[in-house]
Amino acid sequence: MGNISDKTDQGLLQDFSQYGQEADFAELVRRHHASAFAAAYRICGDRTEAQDILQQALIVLARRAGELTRVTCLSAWLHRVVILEARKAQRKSYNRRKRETMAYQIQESSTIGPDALPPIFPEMDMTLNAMSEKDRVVITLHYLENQTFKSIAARLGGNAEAWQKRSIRALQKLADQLKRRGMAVSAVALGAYLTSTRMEAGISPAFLETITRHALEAGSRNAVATAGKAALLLTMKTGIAISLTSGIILAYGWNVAEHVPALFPWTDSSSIASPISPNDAIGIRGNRQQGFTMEMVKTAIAEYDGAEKPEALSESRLRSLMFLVPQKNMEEVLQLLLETKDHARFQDVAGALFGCWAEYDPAAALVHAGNAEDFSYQAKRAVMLTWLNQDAESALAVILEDKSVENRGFLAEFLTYQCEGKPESAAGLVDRVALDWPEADDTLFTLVARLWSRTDGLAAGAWVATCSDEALKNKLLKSMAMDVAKLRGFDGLAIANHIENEKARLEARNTAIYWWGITTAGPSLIPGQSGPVGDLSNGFPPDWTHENIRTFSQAAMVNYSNNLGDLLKIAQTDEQRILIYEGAIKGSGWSNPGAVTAAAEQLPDSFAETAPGKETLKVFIRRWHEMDAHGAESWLSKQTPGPKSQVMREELNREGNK
Amino acid sequence: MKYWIYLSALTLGIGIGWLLFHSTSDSLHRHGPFEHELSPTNRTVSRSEPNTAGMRRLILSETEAMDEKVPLDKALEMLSSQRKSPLRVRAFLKSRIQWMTTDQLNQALMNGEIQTRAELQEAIRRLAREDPEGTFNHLEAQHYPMQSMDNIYIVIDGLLQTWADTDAPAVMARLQKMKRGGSQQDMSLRFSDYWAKINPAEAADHFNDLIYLRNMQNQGTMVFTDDAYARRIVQSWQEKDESAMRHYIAALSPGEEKNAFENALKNLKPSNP
Repeated sequence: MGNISDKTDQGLLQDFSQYGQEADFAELVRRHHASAFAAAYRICGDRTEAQDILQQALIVLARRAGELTRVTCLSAWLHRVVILEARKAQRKSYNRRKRETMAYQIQESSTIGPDALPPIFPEMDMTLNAMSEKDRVVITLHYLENQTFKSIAARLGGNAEAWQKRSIRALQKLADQLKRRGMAVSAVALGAYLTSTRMEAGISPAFLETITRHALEAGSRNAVATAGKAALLLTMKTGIAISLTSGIILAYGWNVAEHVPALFPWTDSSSIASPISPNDAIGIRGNRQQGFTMEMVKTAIAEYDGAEKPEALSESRLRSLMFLVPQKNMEEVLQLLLETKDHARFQDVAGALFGCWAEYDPAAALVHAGNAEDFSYQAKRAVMLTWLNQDAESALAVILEDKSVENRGFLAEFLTYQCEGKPESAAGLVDRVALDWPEADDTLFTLVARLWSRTDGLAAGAWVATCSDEALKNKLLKSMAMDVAKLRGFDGLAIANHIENEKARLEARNTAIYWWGITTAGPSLIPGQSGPVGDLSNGFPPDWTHENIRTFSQAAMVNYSNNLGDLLKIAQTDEQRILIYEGAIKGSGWSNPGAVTAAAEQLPDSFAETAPGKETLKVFIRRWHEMDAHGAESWLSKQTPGPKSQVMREELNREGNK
Repeated sequence: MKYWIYLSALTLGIGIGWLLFHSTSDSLHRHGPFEHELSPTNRTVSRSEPNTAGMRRLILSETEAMDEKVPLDKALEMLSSQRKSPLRVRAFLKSRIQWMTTDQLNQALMNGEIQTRAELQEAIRRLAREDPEGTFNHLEAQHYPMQSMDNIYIVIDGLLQTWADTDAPAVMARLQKMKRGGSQQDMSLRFSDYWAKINPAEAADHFNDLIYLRNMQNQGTMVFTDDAYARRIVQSWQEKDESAMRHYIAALSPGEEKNAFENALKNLKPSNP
């Protein structure tokens, strides 16, 4: 078996899995524990927790040693396991931490302990984990395991120079991706940091020995179990469990068997003559293999094909039914669809069939999709959407081999779907695509940013703010700010604040304020009713400019003219009051000029001496006169003569003469 | 002693199994969400009915998400968490929406359970087909809470377009009853554009009414958008029946409306042969 330190990782794994040599396993742990522990430590920021994670990862290593002999780089594999274990640990400790938050905050405010880590740490490993295999391998081996390029080349082939270049590129990619996620760090600093954390995160030899032994014990327990020796380990606990489970299966199975004819009436020929009421239907979940018949599919397809007009109810039922087709019947059902009269009518049904097919075997489904004639596009779309959802990495590899418009469309559709529930995952996928398909990046980046902003504008804004393309970033932030402000006013302004150029930022803020006023000004002005929109009832925020106040007032009058009183209540100075009047008169032209007469009366005469003031008064009286001539004229006749009333009177006379 | 414990566990298991079966089958014993389809009064007797009922039961039994007691947003969560095909999620939710009664669907929208594009479109189209006026009233009274402006527009467009497909003048009449303001104009712009697209001749017949509904612009000044809308009608009409369009404009009596259409004609690009 040779000297243990001369053995390769694969050799150690092979010998350990075959002969159970503990020394082989200990050697593997000695080689890789430091980088694995450092990764765990970076993610959780706590030594004890990192030790637990490392221990779990080593147990996985011991259990799966036999399967790993073909893994190119064990340290990269172990890094990924650490990430997964760390995520599990984070989920477990989430509730506990929630309970401890208050205590933690108190402690944090007084002292910053040795475990306090900047937020780059967990993100770095998560991002590294999402990179391509070669990039991960080179970063893990060189920076985390401190191996020279020469030794990497000797181990994985190629020459040292090529590996060095690759490592620089990989590190740059990692830095770029981190930047996208809001953590600006140079590649050089990142390299130095990775090396240093490995050195700093060492653990004691005694502890290392303990966890190695523990992993070996846990691993061997699993090996014994999988070798079919469970019977020997039958304890009281397992005996009880088996008895309990058998009882459940027995009772459940008995009941099901008794009700089978009622569950599946079509299996009984007499049921065609006298269909049973749905009220008599009983069933259990996920029993498709028992209930599905090809006859059912044939009849449903024939009926839908023969109907004069496609009916939504039948179509939806047929689409759902496609997801119950067993794998062995896929080709047969496809043939039925190909034989229908109107293929246009069956496009979505074919999509559903291929969606189900891809759930079983995406690669095979993709091959069949290519031969699905008129259904080919829908079939490919369904396969790729499903594949991306089930295994994004391998689906992406297929897409990146064919960077077509069609594939970009599928990717965009999948990202749209993913944004419904997991926008941050969609953003991660876009970051991943950006590296290998930069041409698609702008479109997908914009798409995900917009969709994400619907559910979490602040997070989406922070993500967009990391984009290095200033023009794209500013345009996107402006439009996101506007959209978000409509329903969550202050969040919209926070998004606009990411724009660095002052002029562009002020413009974006004003536009966001305008749409906030149009859509949700009313609730914002009433204490306790603002909800997610944002409470303005205590006054305009100090960073609002005169233009912002005027704009908000104008926009508010479009749909909330009855709230003019509430708007005036929040004015803190006479100057603000005048700005509100100006805006209100302008905005009321949209809706209800009669509701803002107070504004027209309160404005100073000097307002009528400026060109914009004159125009505003003209529009105001003209619109009001058009809606309610008597009301407008009656009000105007009561106004004391002066520049304002003169402007309005002249406008009405001019209109009358026309 | 040991065997007595095993026997007790077995008995307990049988009890649990029995309870489990009866709790999962109960939902299918009761009146289901598809009653409106098979109620004794409106059912159409068909040779394939057992097949239809069987399919429905099979689909129902596939996932708990199809249970009508599960709110639609929860059902979406359950289906999405399976990490199977996104099209499976869409298909099953579409079936659920199709099987709901109008009241159930309205209630789901009022609860804010439906917030995804595909399901919103499906739900609003169905409601618009079955009760357009009632759905419009709910929308106007802001009974349907939406998470984003995009969702609001999905609902507005779904309702206006589905209703316009069957009775566009009724839509216009309903818009005219709205309070004057941004909401009315917003909906009017969307509806009138759609009407010009699907039936320019009818839209032209109601030109003046539509212009009144469309006639405001962002800064609050009043601008009659005759020309822009006339151009839209003329372009759409040209694609459908150019000679009818020219005949109609020639027959208009002199005035602002005729001027607007004639201006639009001047800017019209020749149609493709």
